[in-house]
Amino acid sequence: MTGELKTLMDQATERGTSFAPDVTELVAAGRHRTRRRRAVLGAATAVGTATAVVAALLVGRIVDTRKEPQPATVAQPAAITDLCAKSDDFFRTANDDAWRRQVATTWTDKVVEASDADGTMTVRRSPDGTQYAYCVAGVPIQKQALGGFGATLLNVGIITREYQIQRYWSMGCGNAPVERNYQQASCRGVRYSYAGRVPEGVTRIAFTGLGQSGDATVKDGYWVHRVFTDDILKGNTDPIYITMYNDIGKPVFKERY
Amino acid sequence: MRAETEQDYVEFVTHHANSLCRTAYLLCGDWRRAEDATQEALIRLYRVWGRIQRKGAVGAYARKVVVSTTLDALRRKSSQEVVGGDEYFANEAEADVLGVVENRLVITKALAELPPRQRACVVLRYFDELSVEETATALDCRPGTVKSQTLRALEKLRTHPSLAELSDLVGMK
Repeated sequence: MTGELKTLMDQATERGTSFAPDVTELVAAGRHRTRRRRAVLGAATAVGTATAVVAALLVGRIVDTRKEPQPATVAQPAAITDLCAKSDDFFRTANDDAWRRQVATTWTDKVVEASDADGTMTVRRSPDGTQYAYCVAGVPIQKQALGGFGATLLNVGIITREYQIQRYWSMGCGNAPVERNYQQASCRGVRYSYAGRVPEGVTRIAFTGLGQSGDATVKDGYWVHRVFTDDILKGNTDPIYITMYNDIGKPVFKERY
Repeated sequence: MRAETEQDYVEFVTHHANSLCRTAYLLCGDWRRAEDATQEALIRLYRVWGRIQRKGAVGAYARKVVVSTTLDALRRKSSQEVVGGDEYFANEAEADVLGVVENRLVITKALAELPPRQRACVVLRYFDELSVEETATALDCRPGTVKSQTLRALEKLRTHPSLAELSDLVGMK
């Protein structure tokens, strides 16, 4: 049987195209991660050293019981209100808190946005107009509008795919988002947020699925769309499809996301 | 990383990315996920490339990372999990009545019904043709575990209705 298994598996993995990732991009991503890891290790070492120094100083001060004046309230870092990733550089940016904070505060030029009761999906442009970011925001948890909290993201075209689309989703209870690990049987709602660059020749991007249909909002070469279901179990037989049409109405791309 | 070392990495990716992606596909049954997992694995490989190359175990390590990346992405706790995804795929396969007789659907469906570790054992042993020891290294477990998991997987595959149907068509015993 094992010989047949090999044959069957060989046949199953045959397809017209060969997988050939962009090696330059892979190397760039690898270099970035290596640098970041070194930076983290360096920072951890520095923190350890600083802690040791502070501990030594504190021990030295134990003998001095005089009270020092307390410093003023320490400024807290601004909350990250958007869960963002750069349009063409998901890996380097999606988990980079400093970058996301910068986008949330300084990339105020909104190219296109889709809004509803529980938040927005926005394409933001950098101040110099050369870069774009896909951001989901406004998912309030415990009365705080923390776009990234309770949401996770799925990058469905990391490097090589022509039609790179970024999708974010968050659990919801009715229209009220809930934390992912919040185990409440009645809360099976999910909000999906999508964004992407409009491929050349595409004039319309349509969504069907979860019992709904609608067109994405398109502007200046980018598009956004949001889909919500109050119960994911209802939609199991109706997956979300994205279909892109050209100017004569012919579908040029169809994928399930 | 030195230029010549990096060039070795580039050559490895150029020659082995497709093969690794095929393995990932058999583990997850979805080309998109397989490509993403393979790219993620190759990026992880870059970081340790120099050390692994000195040990002379590049191929084995690459396969190990691809397996772990693919299986990790399938776990429900993964942050990249598609909500309801498993059911979506199952329902689509059921609806495709004509496609069931196609070999690729038959085997991917049969593999999908195996637990992830058993599936990995079958794919690594009989698709990548690794030895028991190499498979154990890739899965980070003991050779005895590979043997027992493979045995159980083969027993399930032998009795799988789709494979039984296929065996009638192609004369497979």
